[in-house]
Amino acid sequence: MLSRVCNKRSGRQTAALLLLSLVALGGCGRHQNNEGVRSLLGANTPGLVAAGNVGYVDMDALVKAHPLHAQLDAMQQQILVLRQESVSVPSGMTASQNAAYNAMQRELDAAQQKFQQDLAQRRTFYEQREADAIAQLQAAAIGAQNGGGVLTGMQQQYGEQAKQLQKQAFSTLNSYRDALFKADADHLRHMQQLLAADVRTKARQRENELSTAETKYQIDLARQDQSARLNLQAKLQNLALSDKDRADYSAQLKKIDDGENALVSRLKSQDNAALSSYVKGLQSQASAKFDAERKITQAATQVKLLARQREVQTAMGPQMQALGGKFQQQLADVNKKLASNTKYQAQAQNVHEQMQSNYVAEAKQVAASYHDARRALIGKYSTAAHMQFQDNEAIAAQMDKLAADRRDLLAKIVDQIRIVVQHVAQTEGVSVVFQSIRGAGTAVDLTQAVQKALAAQAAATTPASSAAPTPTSSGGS
Amino acid sequence: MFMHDKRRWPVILGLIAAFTLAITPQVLAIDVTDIGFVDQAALGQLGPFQAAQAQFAQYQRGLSGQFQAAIKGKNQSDQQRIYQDFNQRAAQKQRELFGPLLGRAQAAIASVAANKGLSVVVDKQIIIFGGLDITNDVENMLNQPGPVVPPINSPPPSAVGYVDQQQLDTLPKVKKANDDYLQFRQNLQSQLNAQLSGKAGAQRQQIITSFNNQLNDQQKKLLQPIVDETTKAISDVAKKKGLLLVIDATNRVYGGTDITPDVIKSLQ
Repeated sequence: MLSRVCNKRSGRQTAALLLLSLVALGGCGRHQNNEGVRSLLGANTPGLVAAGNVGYVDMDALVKAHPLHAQLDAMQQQILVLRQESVSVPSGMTASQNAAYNAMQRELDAAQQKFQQDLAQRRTFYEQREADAIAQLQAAAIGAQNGGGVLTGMQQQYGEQAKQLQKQAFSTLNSYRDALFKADADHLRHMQQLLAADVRTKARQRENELSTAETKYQIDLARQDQSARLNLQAKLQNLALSDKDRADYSAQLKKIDDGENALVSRLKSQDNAALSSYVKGLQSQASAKFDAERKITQAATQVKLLARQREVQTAMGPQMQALGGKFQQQLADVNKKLASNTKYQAQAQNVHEQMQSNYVAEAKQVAASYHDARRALIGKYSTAAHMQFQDNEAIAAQMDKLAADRRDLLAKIVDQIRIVVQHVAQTEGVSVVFQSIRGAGTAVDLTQAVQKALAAQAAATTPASSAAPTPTSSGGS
Repeated sequence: MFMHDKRRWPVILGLIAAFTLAITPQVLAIDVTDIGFVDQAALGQLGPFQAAQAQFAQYQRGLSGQFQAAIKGKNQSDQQRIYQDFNQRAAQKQRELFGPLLGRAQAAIASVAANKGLSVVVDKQIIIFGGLDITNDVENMLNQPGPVVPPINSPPPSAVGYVDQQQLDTLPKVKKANDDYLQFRQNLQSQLNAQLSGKAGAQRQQIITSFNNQLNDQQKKLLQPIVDETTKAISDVAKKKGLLLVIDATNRVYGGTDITPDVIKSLQ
């Protein structure tokens, strides 16, 4: 496509366009602007880069697609059969056969227990003997009374000093953190007080405004009804007024008073509601301001703490190195002395070989005796029960061997798949590939692409060489 | 010279552009740096872990001898009680020996991850390609004497999620499916023992193969629907939260986004 564009334009224009393309591509690489490269990757990989360069594969599916899977599967089937054999208990036995079987199992378990204890004891015995002999040799070689003790003492001293250093650093960091937290708390408390005072002032101001308006409204109403009220009051002052008329005028006067009171009371209710809503709004704003300030303060504190932690670590690094260096130097001096002492080296090697040889010889003897004992027990109880019992431990050993072979084969297959995955990932611009996930989000599923690549490799290689697929040029590292 | 030949410029620039296009994915690929991994198996081979392992093995050997002596002549219920008691003692010893080491390793991983600005650290075994390997840095930190100072800052938000299967297993429908399968397996096992009696060679193998096939079928019938439903729920939550993918909590070492509560809510 780019070459077609080149043909249609003059050389200068094309050069400028290509330069722009390169600049744009460089920008994409630096800033991960996915839109820019998505079209360039072609229609085969939609949304690939948009997934943030992270992919995954279904390893089980890939192993199934591998040419050696049939072999792996056959081994697995054999293992399953052996596993069942090793755990299956004979059934349909008579009471005496059952008793014989249980007695045999008990004796087999006891024999196994004894064998393991015996081995462990012998190992511990020879390890201890070797350690003692080497310590004696070291002491003689470096001219100390106790070679092992010298090294242990050096190590303990170094450990104590290092611990002290770390403790100091931790204490410094803790003090700084406490001081910061206290300053934050003071600042936030002050901020809270300011905000509360502001809310109170504004609320009081609004309350005064409303109160003034209510008074004015009350006066206006009284003014509106002034003439009617005066008229009624004048009529009531007439002593010759009949009782009925007096009652009438009094009622009219009361109606005017009641009307005014009702209007004023309604306004007051409205004002109270408005004031309450206004105060609530003010409190909400204050709360939001406080939260924002709290977040800013905490974030700033975190940054400061992190910076201080780095400072402390940086400052502590050389001290630890110096301390470690001193210890290493002391250790190196002792080791150097021992390493250059050929007599000591030969003696130590000799001690090690002798102990090892003794242990292996005894272990072999113990193991052979143990297996003989098992066989004898199984034979004895099989004869007594008139049925052939099986040795589950022998089956388990066979199963372990097969399982180890299967693991090796699987590792080989996975290694080969890994090379193909690497190649596919690099080709598709994916920088991290997971092989075992619980659920997919927006990451890219590379399973099919890898399956295709595996199939292509299998087709390209002969059956004899299929066990070792050749990685493609960019995927073999 | 061709440098002065203007007609050649488009060709040269075309070649450069083609080359750039060819390497662009790799250039982009190096931008993802906030996913790290650590080889936990390798950390387990470090001296202190090996020493603790040897110490624990020795303790277990001793305990095993004591256990055999303790259950001698006891009835089944007493044996069961003694077995539980010994198991607890072994677990306690394991915590004593490995607890401080694991805490130290966790602090070292967190410290290295924080210094490198990683949002998530996973176990090496689930990464097949790419990612930042911090195993060496963690080993170096662990090899220093004295306590490891953990980072003050918590991990940044991560686009890699994780889910805790142990919590999902407590959901009634998941638990029921698991229990049903175990019950089926137990029943089948007792049938198998009866069928194998008196059989040998190929006949035995045939019976065992049939047993394994039945188990597989029942597994598909009872457990697969739950597995599929869970996988779908996890993917839905991941997409809703804009996550790249979700891993099992056992493979997460540091950071990441826990979506277990959302998945549980979705499955209820």
